[in-house]
Amino acid sequence: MSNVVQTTFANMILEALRDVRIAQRVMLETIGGFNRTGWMNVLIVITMASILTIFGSLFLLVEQSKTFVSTLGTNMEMSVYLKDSADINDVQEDLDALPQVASISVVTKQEAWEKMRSSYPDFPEIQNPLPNTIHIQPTSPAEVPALKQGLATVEGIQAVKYPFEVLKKIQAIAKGLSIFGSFFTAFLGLLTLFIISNTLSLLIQARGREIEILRMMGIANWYIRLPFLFQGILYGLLGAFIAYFPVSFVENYSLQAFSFFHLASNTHHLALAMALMIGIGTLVGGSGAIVSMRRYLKI
Amino acid sequence: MMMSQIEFNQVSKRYGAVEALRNVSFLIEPGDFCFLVGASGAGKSTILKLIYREESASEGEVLLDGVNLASLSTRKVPLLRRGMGIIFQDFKLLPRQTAFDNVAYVLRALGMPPAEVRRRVIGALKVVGLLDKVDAVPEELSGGEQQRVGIARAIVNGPRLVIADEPTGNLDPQSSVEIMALLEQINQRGTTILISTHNLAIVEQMHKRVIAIADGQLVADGILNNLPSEATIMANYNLGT
Repeated sequence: MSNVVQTTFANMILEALRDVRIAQRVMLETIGGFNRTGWMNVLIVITMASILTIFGSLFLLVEQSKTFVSTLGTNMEMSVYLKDSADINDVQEDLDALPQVASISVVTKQEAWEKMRSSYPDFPEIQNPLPNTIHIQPTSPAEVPALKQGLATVEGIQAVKYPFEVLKKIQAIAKGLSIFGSFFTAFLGLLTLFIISNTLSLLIQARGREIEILRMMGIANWYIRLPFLFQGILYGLLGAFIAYFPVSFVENYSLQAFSFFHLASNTHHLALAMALMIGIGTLVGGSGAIVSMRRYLKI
Repeated sequence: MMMSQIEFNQVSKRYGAVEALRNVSFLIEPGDFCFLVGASGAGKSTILKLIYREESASEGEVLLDGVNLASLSTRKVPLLRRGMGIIFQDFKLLPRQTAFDNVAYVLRALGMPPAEVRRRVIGALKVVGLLDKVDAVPEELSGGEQQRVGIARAIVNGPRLVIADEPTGNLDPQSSVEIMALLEQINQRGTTILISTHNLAIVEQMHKRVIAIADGQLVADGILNNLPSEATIMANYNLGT
């Protein structure tokens, strides 16, 4: 029994060693593919790095904008100015009932006037012109449109001041960037896929005779295909690696730009951007290889 | 009862409207040395392609060691080919690799340990008499030497069957004779040899079994003392080239 176990174990070790040797050979074939591709490697990797830089930078900017809007928005208040005829307690009750209201604070016209007088001691003695004011903290910036509609139903409100217009503009810019970035990345991704596919197609055609020999020698199809697939994927990984540097620069620059608003750094954005860049690079590179193999590598 | 190594049973092969083979039947037993002769375009290469499953029969059966090759999945074709050695007219050597690396390629791709690869490759190159050329790349070798590398590559994995498609087609008469002698020597070790050729002079010298094909049909099969010339075959069977 122990002999059987020993033999099985020894066979497993031998098979594992064989697999390692096969993997080594496949990697050598892949390196051979890079050698044969020559200067086109540089062009492909630069193109790949460029699209990933554009994608990663836009992604970071959009994410930073979203964080900016979210953080700033939750710190902002809406100011509701009441008519002189309105009962402040009635309006407060109505506002409390709105689901989009997180909290409210009341500043009576007397309190506002006293605060103003203390700030400006030389202000002339006139009748208090200030209205009763209620400051509203919305549950989230996204709820502001609904809150705006809710406020229209409340009696006794003279005017509402919205400090969210600038945030809406930032949101619109972020959305525009996101849409533009998606289309631009898709367009450049297809272009890169086309370049990779054509380059590998030329490589496959140049190696046509060699591939035919390998087939006749009984070399497994996957052994012939894998080096091309790996080459395509490696273009993606190399492109992502190079793109990391400009994208991390964009990350730092955008954080500095937003630091005026004392926003916390979101380092996970860069990690997420890198993960997506690696994913897109792998997908584009691998797809380019698969397209070329489907067209030219008949096994 | 011993199983035939290769069995063609009423095999026909069509390429569109062109009929490359018509009802061809023959058996090749283990250890046979057999020539497949016929004019260019007679169907010899089609027969070889059917054996190494580059093509499939349109009708009839091609059996290798009793296995119907039509039932073999595409995925298993490399396995089938690894069990046989194939020699080509144009040698089909990897141009940038040395004689040693050409012969070693399959063994390395199979993940064989380097020491075992070396032992086998040196053994194969010794059989073909090229131990002094292990580091030479194909362009540094003569045609005959390149074909010897091709033969070493074909036998390095210890196949039971070696198929040669016009192995002397690109060689001078002297080299052709040497290559045939080498293949006979390999056959004497028990390996089945099937050689496609239109070089009737060499076939007559060897005095081995001959399967003659003309216009896709089997026209003669046996050890022929007086092999009919190509012209005679064409005339007798009223077949064009």
